Amino acid sequence: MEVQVKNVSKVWGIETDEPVTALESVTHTFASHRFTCLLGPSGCGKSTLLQIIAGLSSRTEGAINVVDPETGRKAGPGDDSTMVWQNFNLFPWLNVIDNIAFGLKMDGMDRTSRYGRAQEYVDFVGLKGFEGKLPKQLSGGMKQRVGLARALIKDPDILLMDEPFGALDAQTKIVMQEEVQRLYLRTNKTVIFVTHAIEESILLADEVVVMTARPGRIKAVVPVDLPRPRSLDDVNSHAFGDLFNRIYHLIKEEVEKSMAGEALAT
Amino acid sequence: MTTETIPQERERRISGGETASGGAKRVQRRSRVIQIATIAGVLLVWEAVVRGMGIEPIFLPSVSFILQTFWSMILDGTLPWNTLTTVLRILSGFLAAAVCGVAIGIGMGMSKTFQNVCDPLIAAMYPLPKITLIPLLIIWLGSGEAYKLVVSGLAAFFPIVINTYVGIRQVDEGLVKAARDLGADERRIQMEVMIPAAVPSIFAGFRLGMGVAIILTVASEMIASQNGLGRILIEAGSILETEKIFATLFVMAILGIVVTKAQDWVDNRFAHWAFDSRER
Repeated sequence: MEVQVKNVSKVWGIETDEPVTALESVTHTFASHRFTCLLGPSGCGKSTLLQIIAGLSSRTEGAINVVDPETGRKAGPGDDSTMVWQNFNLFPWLNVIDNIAFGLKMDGMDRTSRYGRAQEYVDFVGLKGFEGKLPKQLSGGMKQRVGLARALIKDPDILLMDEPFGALDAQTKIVMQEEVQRLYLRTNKTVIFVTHAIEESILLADEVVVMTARPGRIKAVVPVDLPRPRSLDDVNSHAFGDLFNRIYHLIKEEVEKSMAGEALAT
Repeated sequence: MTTETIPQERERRISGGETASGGAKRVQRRSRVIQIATIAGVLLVWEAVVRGMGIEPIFLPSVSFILQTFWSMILDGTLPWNTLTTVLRILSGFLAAAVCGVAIGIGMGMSKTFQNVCDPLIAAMYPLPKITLIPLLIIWLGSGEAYKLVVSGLAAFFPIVINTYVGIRQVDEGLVKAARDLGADERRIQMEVMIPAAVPSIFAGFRLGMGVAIILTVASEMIASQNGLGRILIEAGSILETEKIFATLFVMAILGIVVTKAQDWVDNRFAHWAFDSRER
């Protein structure tokens, strides 16, 4: 499924005296079966855009079309997608397997079959033996594996990831990045991945969409043609370095702009 | 108790031996010994002071005399019967308050209109000390069981309804979004996310509610009743049987401990996911 975002704007507090424009006429097509990273300085509205695509946040203007380019089948925002969250958003009162099975329960699947399916995903994300643990008993990396399994069990065509490794320590992050890349290569889902880390975006994406500081607009689209699977070994390569520099300078301008804006405001 | 074994397991895995959990147990046993020794010490000093200074039993009876009185009040049936009566009154008032409080609190949390209806009523009634309603309730309901049930139930209702409402309102918006993303409709979000998430807050309301239900039940017995612990207190006080007052207070202290332990158990059983402190 591809996600066509057309002229989407989002204004917070439109009924107040000081409306804030979070997104300004964003237009982009997130290609089917491709891994796209949304990259931008904090506060650029990239998470807001992701939630609009997920159908969890309203838009002030514009349209979201989810279309299968092969069959022409159309869907609404959120129908064929699930989200992986930065702060995990696991249900703290449910154990690992119940968290993972939550989406199936909402689909009305009976207990036996949803536990059977959930067990497959427990094994898939390497949490065998932790089925009965509560989220608070898990490390950050394990929590995000649960978050990933909980999203994947719905078998969405589109996987939305909102800075999923932002709350993890550096080592865990490396492992999770490799796993997500493997997962993508294996399942070939459409992935939209929000991040503010340049390295992460080059490591994972087929295409990096760089956004401007508030109001969020699309500043540049940078294709990443490095061969897969990529690993941290590639970070030292010339091609990686060139891409990094190019994106870094795009981002740097925006960060400086937003800091100047903050300095004026204070 | 189940939650307590988990960190120990983890510690053992990390330390590769028994030292960490063994040490924790030793600290626990030591503080238990200190607690018991403190109580025993206070009672011994009490006994010694009363005997040594020859204090009149109508002012302060000795510990041994209180225990003797306590025992005879158990044997003649006074304490068992009246304790049972009071406990049943507390429980029925609390139960009525819990059912109404949780139901109305959830309703207020889910429906803005219902919240607007209830809010001014609760705001007007909540700060009123419930004990001041006793004269009015006796006029309306007489001095029988109905009045005692209403006064303790009413007092317990407010903390429960407010905690339930606040618990529902304070549900993490991220969890609601996550549930919606996973296909939950509004009703499922209410049942599967908002109510479970509010459970710790509801239980905190139960704790407060139980506390005031005990106070108001005993107070209502002291003001108008044929029986119950409150009645014994007033009766003993009026004829200066101080040892009976202490024996009754002793029962109430035990009652308080039992109630607290029972609530701890319920919290651990149903809301253990919310308590980080016990986990570490």
